[in-house]
Amino acid sequence: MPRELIFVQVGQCGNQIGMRFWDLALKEHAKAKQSLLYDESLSSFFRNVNSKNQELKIGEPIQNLKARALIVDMEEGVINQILKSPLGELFEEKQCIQDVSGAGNNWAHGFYHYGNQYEKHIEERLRKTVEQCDSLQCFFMTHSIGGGTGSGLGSRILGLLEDNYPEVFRFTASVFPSGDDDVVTSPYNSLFSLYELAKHADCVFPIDNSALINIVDQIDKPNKARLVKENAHEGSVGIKITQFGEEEKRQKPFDKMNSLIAHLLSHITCSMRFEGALNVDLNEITMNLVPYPDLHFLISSMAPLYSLLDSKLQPRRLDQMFNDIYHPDFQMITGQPSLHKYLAVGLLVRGDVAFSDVNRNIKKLKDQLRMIYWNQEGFKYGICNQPPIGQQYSMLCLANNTCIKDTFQEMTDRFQKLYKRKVYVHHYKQYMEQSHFDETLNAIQNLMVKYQELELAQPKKYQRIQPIF
Amino acid sequence: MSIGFIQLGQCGNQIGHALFDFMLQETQMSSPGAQALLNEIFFFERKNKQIAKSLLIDMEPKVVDRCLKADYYDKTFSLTKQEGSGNNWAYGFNNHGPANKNAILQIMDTLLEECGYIECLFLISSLAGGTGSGLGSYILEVLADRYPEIEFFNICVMPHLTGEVILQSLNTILTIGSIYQHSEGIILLQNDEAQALCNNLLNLKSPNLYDINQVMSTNLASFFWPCLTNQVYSTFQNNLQYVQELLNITNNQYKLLQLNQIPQLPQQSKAFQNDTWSALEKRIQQMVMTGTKEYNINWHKKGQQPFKQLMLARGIDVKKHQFNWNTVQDEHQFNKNEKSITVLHNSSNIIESLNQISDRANQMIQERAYIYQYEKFGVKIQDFQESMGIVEGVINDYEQLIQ
Repeated sequence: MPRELIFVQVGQCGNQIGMRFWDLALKEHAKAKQSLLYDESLSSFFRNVNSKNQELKIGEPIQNLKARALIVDMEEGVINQILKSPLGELFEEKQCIQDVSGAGNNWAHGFYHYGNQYEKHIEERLRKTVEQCDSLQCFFMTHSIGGGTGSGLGSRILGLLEDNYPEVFRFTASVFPSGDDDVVTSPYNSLFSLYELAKHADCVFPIDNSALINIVDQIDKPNKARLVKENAHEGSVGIKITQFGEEEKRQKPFDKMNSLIAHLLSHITCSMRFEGALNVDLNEITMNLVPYPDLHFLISSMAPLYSLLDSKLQPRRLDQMFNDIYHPDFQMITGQPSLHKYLAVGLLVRGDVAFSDVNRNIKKLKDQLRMIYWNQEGFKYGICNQPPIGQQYSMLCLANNTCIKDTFQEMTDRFQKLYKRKVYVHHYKQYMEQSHFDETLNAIQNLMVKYQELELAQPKKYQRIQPIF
Repeated sequence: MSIGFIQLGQCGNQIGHALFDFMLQETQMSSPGAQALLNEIFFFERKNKQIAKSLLIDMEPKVVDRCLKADYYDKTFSLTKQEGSGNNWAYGFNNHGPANKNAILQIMDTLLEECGYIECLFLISSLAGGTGSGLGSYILEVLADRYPEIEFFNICVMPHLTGEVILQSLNTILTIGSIYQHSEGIILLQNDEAQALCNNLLNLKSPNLYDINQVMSTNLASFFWPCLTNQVYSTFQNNLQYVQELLNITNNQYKLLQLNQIPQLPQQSKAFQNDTWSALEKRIQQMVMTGTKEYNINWHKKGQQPFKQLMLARGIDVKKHQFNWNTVQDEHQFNKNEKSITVLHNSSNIIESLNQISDRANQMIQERAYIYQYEKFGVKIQDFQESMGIVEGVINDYEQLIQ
């Protein structure tokens, strides 16, 4: 009996991330087991059906894999692209919920208008997908929170998941807008989504584009230098240089950025699917890394990075990996955790890494990290035997750190800039009351206060409980 | 005599598996008498195979599935579920416990029927997680109630004190608070110690979990290995009467036991071992009395006599030596060691670790960190405080022993 995960990809960003993820998942499973049998690890993400669309059990040969996913978008472009691509075979028509005109980058349009319109439809589809699972572990939502569909309708779906399946964990990989975001209403959309995420999600992995671009740049830099050198030898310099010269720099490398997120998702779920000396399930992640229910935003960083996108580079040494993981350059969201307090840290290692290596490195790094006083040993680690594609080992760090409040503060400031002068508010008032703006602001400020309190917490001497005689 | 095990959770199953593997491997180097005795005590025959008297229980399938690949485990005596316990003691105790109670009692009954009788049961689990500690505590209560004629002991693994599972202090307190009244004795094994042995003595610079489990299960096996003092199978005289010996070294107040075994040597060095019985005895006694390990024995402190201890000496010419402490002697060369000594002792040097764990748990409880996760499944602040009280009582009792 397998333990399944249901993917919910909402909006343009969410779906593009989803596509990179499915691509990666197929490659990983193909590499892990050479046999063509449908096994337990495959069944966490995929169903197996024959040509008559009947479910096949574990142990039977693979015929048609169908992803356990719900694809939602209120405009046609991305979904059509998906269904036309080679990965389109993974999805059935009925897994897709789509509309034509989009949500116009308006959170309220996504949440209220499309939310109300498609609520029953979505619940129905969800029920069917859940029924196909034997032992559902969690829902994983991918979306961006700056736009209209992913943020608005995504938030609405998150609420539906909680109402209908309160026992099943809800994880989200949410793309937060970065400073140079081109959507003008993104401050409103993102804060409204943040409120919903704080209320309904069990665990959020915030990601922002500028951090991802930073990572991709780091990976590309040595790569470009090496390739230029190669071409110099070949002599056909003129033609090759234009391929990776100025042109590529101007476009945002969304494909590569989405690949990074796909790797993150794969890493988080690897212990569920593959064997390991020290397994860490998804429920253990929430249990260990979320000391207070509201504070469920985890900063993720991965190492080694560059080999993720280009396997020809040298694998770093293990200890270097442990050092790198705490460096802001390796994070998927901008922030300075080393200047703030860590509430809990999870380290998930993949590959052939010894238990004592992890332990030894944690001992070394403990003193450099500012951990909250009541959780000085706040490390949770897991080891999974299956390395990622193209590498010997890799590591994911999930940190619950108070620096996230700085991110929230920036978002609130941008929100206030617009709201003070009531710019664009009328677009939202079409669907909701203005009081929602104030309610959201209040809630996020309360959240920030909680983080601030923990940041400033000083060690207290507590009396030990008296023995029972 | 008949001994059974219940392997609970990931750690419990990994250790149990390693223990049986080791004992079977050791039979290759022992007399037919010892092999027969081992079979009689720890195995029984089922469909022409020797099956271990052990239940394999876990709330997620991967580890038990791996164990079941061995010849000596049978699927009939295993129970797995899909979802795991998420390191949540309350989920293991209040949710998995009642949900699986009947199934577990059923496989226990089947085991007892098929193997005749079991004198004592050892529950193997870790203290840090959710299944071994939470479900394990619930099951101990249920079984102790249902089978009053069987003596129940625990073998518990303490995680690294630098942190492995963030909730380990809370889970440890809840477990000890719960099992102390029902268990006859709790053998505490420590990850820290096993890893240090690998690093310092066994020449393994980067031991992985498999190595650490090997060290622990070898040490356990050095206690469980049957003693043939007369090299004759038919009599059980002078043999290690596990239950009686264990009950001798524990009582209602003092139940925490630790295991020390020397010498710890890498395989290639064993041929060069030249300790005398006298030297070995002095070393291990000093280790036990000062609470230090073989690689950093403190010879300067006078040390504290343990409250009670059980010493087993195995090897060449063991009968010719006069031991200071009451010792069970066996001529078998255990684990290719020419001479080796194992001491299972009930002494107060465990207090340091317990104090640390209690401090950390206390801080978390006062700050109410993570408590909501436990409250969701019925374990409230009062339950934490009650368990803390029990653990403080145990620490207090052991501190009285120190002069």
